[in-house]
Amino acid sequence: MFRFSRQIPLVIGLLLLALAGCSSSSSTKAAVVPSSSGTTSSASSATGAALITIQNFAFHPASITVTPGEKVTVTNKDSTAHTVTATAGSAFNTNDVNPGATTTFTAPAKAGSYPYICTIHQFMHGTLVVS
Amino acid sequence: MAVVRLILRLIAAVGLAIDAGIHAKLAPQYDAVNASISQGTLFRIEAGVAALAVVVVLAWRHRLGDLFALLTAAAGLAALLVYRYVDVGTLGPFPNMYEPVWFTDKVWAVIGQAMAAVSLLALLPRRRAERTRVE
Repeated sequence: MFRFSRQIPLVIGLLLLALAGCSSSSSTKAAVVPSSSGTTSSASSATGAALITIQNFAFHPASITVTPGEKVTVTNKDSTAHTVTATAGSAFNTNDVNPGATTTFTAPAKAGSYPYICTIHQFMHGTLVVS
Repeated sequence: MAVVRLILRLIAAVGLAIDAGIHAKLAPQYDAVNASISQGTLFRIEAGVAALAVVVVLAWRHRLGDLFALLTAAAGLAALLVYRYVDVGTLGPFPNMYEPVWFTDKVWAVIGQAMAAVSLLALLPRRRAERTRVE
């Protein structure tokens, strides 16, 4: 019933090919995963370089403080697209940030706390504080 | 005809291997999408079952094995397309896996699953026809 003899090298080859793709990506990602889960982290952009990194379906830092009208850079390190979109009004919206891509948006001119989400994965939350 | 069947089998195996590789690659990231069971765990299950289907399709070459592989590819493809276009929400232990966007890895997963499903669909009736002819 089983005809293993001729197919074994082919089967092993295909499985190794699939596993090779997985292991290389996993090791790369493991090297850059932030130690914090991002749920309570916060940062301010005293140097004027406001940066939000998206990784493993989370915004890093989860809360960032910027000055009014400051340029905020968003880098997506995930394999899927994300957005950074203010939940109230249309204060800011990056639209889709593709995997590996970087984009910028301008922080609102009015001081305040602006919660934002990824509209594709709406469980992802962050806060932009303008002060 | 034997050559055609072998080619169909190889296409199915390559498609399933792509399916397995992509899901295994994406699984760690999708652990963040969680309910009672995480999307990452479901991806690992899909990867494991698809890898098993590769072995079954190439080595066993039995109608039941081909059917198992077809169900693996077709179910994966159906789930991917449903969650691409329909906001299903959480469903029992499953998280809300709605993701209304295409990206490279997702496209490759669809290609792999479609390759496997189409070639296995072509393979199964052929075997039935051959059995009828022998009888």
